[in-house]
Amino acid sequence: MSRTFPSLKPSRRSFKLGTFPTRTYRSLAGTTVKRSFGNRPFGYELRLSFANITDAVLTEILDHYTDTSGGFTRFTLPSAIFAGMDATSRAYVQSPGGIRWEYTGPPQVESVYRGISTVSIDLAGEMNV
Amino acid sequence: MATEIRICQFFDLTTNNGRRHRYQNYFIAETRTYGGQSFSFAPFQADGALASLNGDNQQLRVLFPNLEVVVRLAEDGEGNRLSVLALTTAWLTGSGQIANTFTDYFIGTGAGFNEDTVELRFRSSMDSVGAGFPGRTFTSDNVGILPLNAELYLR
Repeated sequence: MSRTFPSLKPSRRSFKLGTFPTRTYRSLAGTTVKRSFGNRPFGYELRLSFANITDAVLTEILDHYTDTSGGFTRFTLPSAIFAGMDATSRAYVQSPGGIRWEYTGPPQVESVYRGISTVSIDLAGEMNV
Repeated sequence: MATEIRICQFFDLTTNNGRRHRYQNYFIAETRTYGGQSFSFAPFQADGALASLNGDNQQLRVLFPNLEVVVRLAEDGEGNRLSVLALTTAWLTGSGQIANTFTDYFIGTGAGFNEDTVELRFRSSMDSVGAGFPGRTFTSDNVGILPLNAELYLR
């Protein structure tokens, strides 16, 4: 099992709740039938930015990306990631329904100054079987 | 106008060594009780002809992700040969309660593997009714050894 994401407070954070597994069938007359395939949402999205971090912190993030095989292994997120949200709001996004997070792409690193960088990461929250 | 339907399938497989494997594919990470039995969650899908007027020789394919438990299930039944599947399709209410169910029975004919899925193949069991009702039934008294599926050869 991979280690938890480093306990860091992001400088920017945005997320999108998951969608429910449904499919809509539309007839030629325009009527629709919707079928539900499951009772829980999937495909949560979370984008985090860590501005002006030191190389030591940058290394922590890059190490975590490598340790989780770059999106192959899922992991949990610490509460620090959701700093500023109350517990009720955090429950909607931190681990709703037992989802685990994975990288959807490699971290994007922008060098700001010597030893200082800004990192953006995109995560997807998916359900384990 | 929109109609919303929620369908859960209950997969009850008896392998030829007598072991039972019960799964459902709607209530994620939950165990549901149906018919007095517990069905744990597994992300399978069933496709193929499930019913016809004659009811015989229908082919059904059940796809599972290539999980260890599923590989074990297939190996446990010697590659899904001659296992018995009771597949129940259940219509659910908005609150997740079962409203209506239909159950079909199938006989395992084999399994297939690839790098990410396990495919269990079935044919319908010998339960054809046809035009005459009640249907005539083969018994060991009138045909001898009973066939296990609808593949009959008249010679």
